[in-house]
Amino acid sequence: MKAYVHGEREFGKTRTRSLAAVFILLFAMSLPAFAALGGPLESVQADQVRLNAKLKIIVAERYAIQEMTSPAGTVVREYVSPAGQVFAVTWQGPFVPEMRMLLGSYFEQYSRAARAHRESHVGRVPLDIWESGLVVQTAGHMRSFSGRAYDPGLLPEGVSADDIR
Amino acid sequence: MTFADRVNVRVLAIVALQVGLTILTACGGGSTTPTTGAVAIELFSSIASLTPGTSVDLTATVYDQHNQGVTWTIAPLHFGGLSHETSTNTPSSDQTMASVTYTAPTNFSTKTTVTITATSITNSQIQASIQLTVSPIAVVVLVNLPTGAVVPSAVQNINQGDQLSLLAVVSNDTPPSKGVTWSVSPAGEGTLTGAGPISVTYLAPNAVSSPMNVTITATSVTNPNAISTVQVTVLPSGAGPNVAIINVDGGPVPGQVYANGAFTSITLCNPGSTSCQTVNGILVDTGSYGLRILQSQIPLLKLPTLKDGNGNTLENCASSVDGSYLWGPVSEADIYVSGEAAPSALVQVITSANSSVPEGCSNGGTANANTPQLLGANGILGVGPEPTDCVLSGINFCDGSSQPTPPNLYFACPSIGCAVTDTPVIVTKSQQVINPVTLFTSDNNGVILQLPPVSGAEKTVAGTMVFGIGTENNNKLGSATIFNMDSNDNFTTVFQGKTLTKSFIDSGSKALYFPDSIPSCAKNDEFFCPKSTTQVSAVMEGATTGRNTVDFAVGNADDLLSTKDAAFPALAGPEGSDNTCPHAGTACSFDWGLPFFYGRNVYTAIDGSTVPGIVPPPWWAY
Repeated sequence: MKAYVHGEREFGKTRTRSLAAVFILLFAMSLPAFAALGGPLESVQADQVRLNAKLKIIVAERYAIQEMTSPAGTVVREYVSPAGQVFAVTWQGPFVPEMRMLLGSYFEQYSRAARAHRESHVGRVPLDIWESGLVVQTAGHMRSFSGRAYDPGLLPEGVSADDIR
Repeated sequence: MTFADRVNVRVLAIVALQVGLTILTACGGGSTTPTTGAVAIELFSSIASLTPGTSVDLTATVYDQHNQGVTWTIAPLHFGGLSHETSTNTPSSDQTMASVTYTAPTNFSTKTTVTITATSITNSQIQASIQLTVSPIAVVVLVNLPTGAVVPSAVQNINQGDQLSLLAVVSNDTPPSKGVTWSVSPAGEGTLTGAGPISVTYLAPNAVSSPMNVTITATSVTNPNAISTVQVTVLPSGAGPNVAIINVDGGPVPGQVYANGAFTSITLCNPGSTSCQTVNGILVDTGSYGLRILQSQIPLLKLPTLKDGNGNTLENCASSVDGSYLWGPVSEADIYVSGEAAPSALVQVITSANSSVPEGCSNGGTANANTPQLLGANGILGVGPEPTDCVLSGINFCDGSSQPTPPNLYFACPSIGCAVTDTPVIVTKSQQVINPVTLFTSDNNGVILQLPPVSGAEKTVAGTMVFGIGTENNNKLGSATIFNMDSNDNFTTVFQGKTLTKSFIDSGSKALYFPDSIPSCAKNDEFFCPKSTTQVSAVMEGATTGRNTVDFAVGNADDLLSTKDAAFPALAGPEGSDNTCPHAGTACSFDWGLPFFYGRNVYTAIDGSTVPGIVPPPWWAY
């Protein structure tokens, strides 16, 4: 499978010109914006301003990635389907990002699962939530956190969970 | 704190005044409903005498068909305080269990009899009272260190055959003070010499085969209820003022086994005073920075909190990898660990109240882990590679220098508490929760954790935490290999073809966590359960220096944890997703938790400090 184009490949440099063109159009036309898991790609601008973040767009064969880097160095990536829907998010950096903003309508489900996880384990254990409709995995330590969240049901055709990283 | 004189005091108060009667109800099928009946209160205290600042739990059994509890009062008014009131109804019974904690005042000069009264809510004529004697005489034992410093540190260690010099300070004794008597427990484990009314020398046994604990007690001659203790661990070798004992012993919570947790004891004091409490069950964590102590474990202390110009309290938020958080005020305390002192250290006191927490802190996580059961410990001693909890690679994220909007670590809250919508505030480095090691006089550039090898599993493993690197004869780097950290305090681990660039060594992790396809356990789903123990290896690579292959075992965690043991070198579990990690640019981790520490001396050098040698901290070495 050649679905994934390496993360550092910048916007517009992929081999899949036609899809890239679609994304270019999509991003350019709507001034696309930060959106939560499961949500539509809307206006990037507001949240970019809110996060005071640098924005980078990476286009792969079957999806695009919006990558935002906050001044503190926390990198948030949103995986966007050709239909303009966010099907996965990842984060990595010194601070945990705002989960409500990141997970949108999945926030309450995440919150319930995280509570259940905490209450059923003694001490700190990385999250490894596998529920229908939501997978969340975390790793790290104080001042270096990473994680990913996705809805298996939203993965575009030909995209595997292994692509989300 | 223990009380020398335990007596049981029971007061059965009252007295049925009204005759119970029943009436047949006119509707609804004719059940009988008692309408009135006797009310009685039985009041119980485990002790009858208290010393300044100490507490006793009083319980009342209330026999009352209306299942109303009691109200509590003290006489003389305001002499001490009542807290932790509870009231529990027994279903299908007319009994209510009520309890309250009475805490004696800390500052008074004459012996006082306090009367605590429980009054029935149903019938205020029904009361039960109990009398407690509160003596102002208090004893504090101080340790006269070989360095000449005198500290109220109540947990010490010495080598076999060595001696420890102790002083006792008795306050509010009838002049002239008769001082204290000294005793050692277990009796015969070492000797007390030169015992006087205010000083003694403890001589440790000449030979011990393994670490041995003794307790030395000073008891006021005038008031035998007034005692103070020092816990001494006698080691075969390696003791010193910069050495603290750590134990992998399942942790401090009865009925709960904290696997692979290294615990120590600390003494916390009101700043600049000898008003102190010693707290055991403190998790030693090289993966975080700063002391975080449960409020419920330091009821006798009154630690000043940091406030801004408007009287708002500075609250600290510590987010964990599991989405949970710790919340509570930034407070000032003197911290003593063995013979080391961190004066006026800023610590987080994890608040007992289930107060409102800004969503910026909770972030979808569980409720504040503010009980020993939830935390698995009485506190966390963060002795990792950074000086405060908001500094990384010399960049301070909370003081406004690197970003105008601070991260979710500090909040300024009015006395009624924060609102869920409150946002973080900017704080200077000197207002941040601090790694207490950096405050030690000279052994302040890092720590070494030393644990013996463990094969299979053990119920208890004793080791040491040595403060300072290359500052004393007992903490030299020697032939250990340094692995330096990248700008995120990580290094790389190569494991089964996967390059895990966010790897780290962390005594606060219970297991080795890494991405693998080994199945998780059915019961303990945070760990791996291979059919049989598997031997594997991985390569550690420092950011620019250090490389070593580490062999380790992955055992079946359900089998391991079915025992009553607490130390498991083969405990491992999943972190992240196995299949994503072979790809470049992926944030994958190998978390070298406490199992890695068995059989090694693991050094953690603190960013910004100076360690003799050519590799600037932060780094790990072993």
